Amino acid sequence: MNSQKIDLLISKYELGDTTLDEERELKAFFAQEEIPAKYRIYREIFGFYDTAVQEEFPDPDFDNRFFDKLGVSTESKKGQLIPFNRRIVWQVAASLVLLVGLYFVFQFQKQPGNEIDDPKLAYAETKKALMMISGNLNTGMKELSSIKTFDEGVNELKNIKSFNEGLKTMEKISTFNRSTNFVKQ
Amino acid sequence: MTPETFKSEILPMKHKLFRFAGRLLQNIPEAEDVVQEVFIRLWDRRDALKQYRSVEAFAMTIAKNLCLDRLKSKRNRQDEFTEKHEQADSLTPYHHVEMKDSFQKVNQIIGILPEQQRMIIQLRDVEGYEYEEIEEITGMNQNAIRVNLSRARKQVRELMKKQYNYEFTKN
Repeated sequence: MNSQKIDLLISKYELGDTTLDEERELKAFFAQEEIPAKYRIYREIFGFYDTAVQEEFPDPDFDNRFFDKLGVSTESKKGQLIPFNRRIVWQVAASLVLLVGLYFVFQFQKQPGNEIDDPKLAYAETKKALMMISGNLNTGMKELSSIKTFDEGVNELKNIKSFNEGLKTMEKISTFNRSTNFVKQ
Repeated sequence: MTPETFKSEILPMKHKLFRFAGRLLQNIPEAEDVVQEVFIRLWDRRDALKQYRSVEAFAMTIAKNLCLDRLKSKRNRQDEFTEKHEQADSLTPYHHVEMKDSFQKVNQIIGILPEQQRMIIQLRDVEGYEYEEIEEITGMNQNAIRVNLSRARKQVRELMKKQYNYEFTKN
């Protein structure tokens, strides 16, 4: 920027007629290392504005102190506000634990050290496992014996037939009614 | 508004509010008090903040009012003569010696400007607000803002010149 343009911008600036962009231009110009000595005052003034805007609030722990003073806990409110998110977090965590667990079980089974080389031992192990399953199955079967009682109950229901027969017999009563009416007449 | 949102969206304004209050009050602990007071008021209205087009302009307006109130009550307590006397005195040779670097030089010079000019210089030349925003914060019309700004800028330049001339003759 030539000095003529700078002078023009400065006088515009001092009349309060510069735009923000023009003011930024001035700040950038005066922030340069080498500028004519006649501008040293402006250099200091614009340099001041550049530095002053970076000044920060002195207490770095202000935010926490502020909420403490209000008696507001930023932590507890969090829980009240996002139970849904928290549930998702738990679900994701549980799924991850499950996946990691399955992975290790899988890896463990794949390890060669867990295979049984001796056929007899393998047979014995398999038998043991199958016996365990059948034993548990039998326990379950015992419970099923109650079904017999249910069957007996169903058998008892056969007597309903006799009840039906009784009803049929009762139809004769209506015939009796008709005949009494006839007698009345 | 939740405390988290308040913390992440409102509290970061503390720096800007502090600079503004500091410029007006010329006193750091008082400026800190004002910033806290602004946030307490915003917190009390936290559910109504959405209605404001610019929460920042609203916060700055509260800060301005609090600062002007403080300055007014200070003025009432003080004899007006003493204050003016002090202001005129602040650029005596004794004070000149106290000015260490150019930052403090400009800082002190702006500090002795009238309140309104200080306020507008801070909003425009330090923070870079548009005139519409300055109107909203100060409640002044654009013309009055430009007049005050122009006076302030010229005054700063003049006082800087005086300062240089003093230093020149001293050396």
